[in-house]
Amino acid sequence: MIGNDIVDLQLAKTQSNWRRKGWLQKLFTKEEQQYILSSTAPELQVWMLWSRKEAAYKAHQRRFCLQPRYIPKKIVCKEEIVTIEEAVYRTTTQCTQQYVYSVARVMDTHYNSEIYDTEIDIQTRFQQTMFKKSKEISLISFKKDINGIPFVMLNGVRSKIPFSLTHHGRFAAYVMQRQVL
Amino acid sequence: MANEELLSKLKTIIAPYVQNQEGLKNLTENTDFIKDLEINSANLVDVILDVEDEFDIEIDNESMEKMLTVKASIEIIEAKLAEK
Repeated sequence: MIGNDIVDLQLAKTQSNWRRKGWLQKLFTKEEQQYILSSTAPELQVWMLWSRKEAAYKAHQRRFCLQPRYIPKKIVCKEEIVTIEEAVYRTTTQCTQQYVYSVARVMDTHYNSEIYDTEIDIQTRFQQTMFKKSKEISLISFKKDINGIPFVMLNGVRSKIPFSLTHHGRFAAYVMQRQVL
Repeated sequence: MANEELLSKLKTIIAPYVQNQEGLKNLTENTDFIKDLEINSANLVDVILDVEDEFDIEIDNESMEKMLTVKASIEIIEAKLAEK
């Protein structure tokens, strides 16, 4: 099972004031707050931890078919391992000057993931990638279920392959679980 | 506080974080902050902090979990105001 989350660092700077009173306290556990505040780059740590939490939450929500809840403090980060109510996820985070991108997965899950500029339509790019991979696919679209969880339609049929989308500011990304036969 | 007054105060609070203005125009009790208004999940905490400041209440973690729709937010604010 997989989930992903991207943060456009430039947009995050204008959208959120992480130093606002109560902000860190409502989103992060005491240990996470200490980790952020003792860092030499606290703002970057805020978004690294946040993207891990979001990515893990998406994987968790999909895994257990859960209704949306706002539970940032129940999602606990310890380095790359994220725990949500005893379920464990491993995250991989990529940091550049422009963005922070995390993919969360249940241990040993394989995946494909790509990041795009939002000026390019992610659905179109995803179609191009998939068409190259399989000649049997002629029609691809993205849909969302009642809980807001995205899935892929392949040739008009709902695919069971776990799939997650994220976009923020100038960036969009997808992650798709790879089927290991 | 009358329900309409509360709704109007809540609308003012969420407005700066809304990315889908169409959703704000058609705001009802069933409006979902993320699905309908496209509020960024990192900004939901600002909505909660603004609600705390505006109504002088404290939103605990348990209440925060549910604050994803207009209806749930109004119920939580009303309950917290009644406790005061």
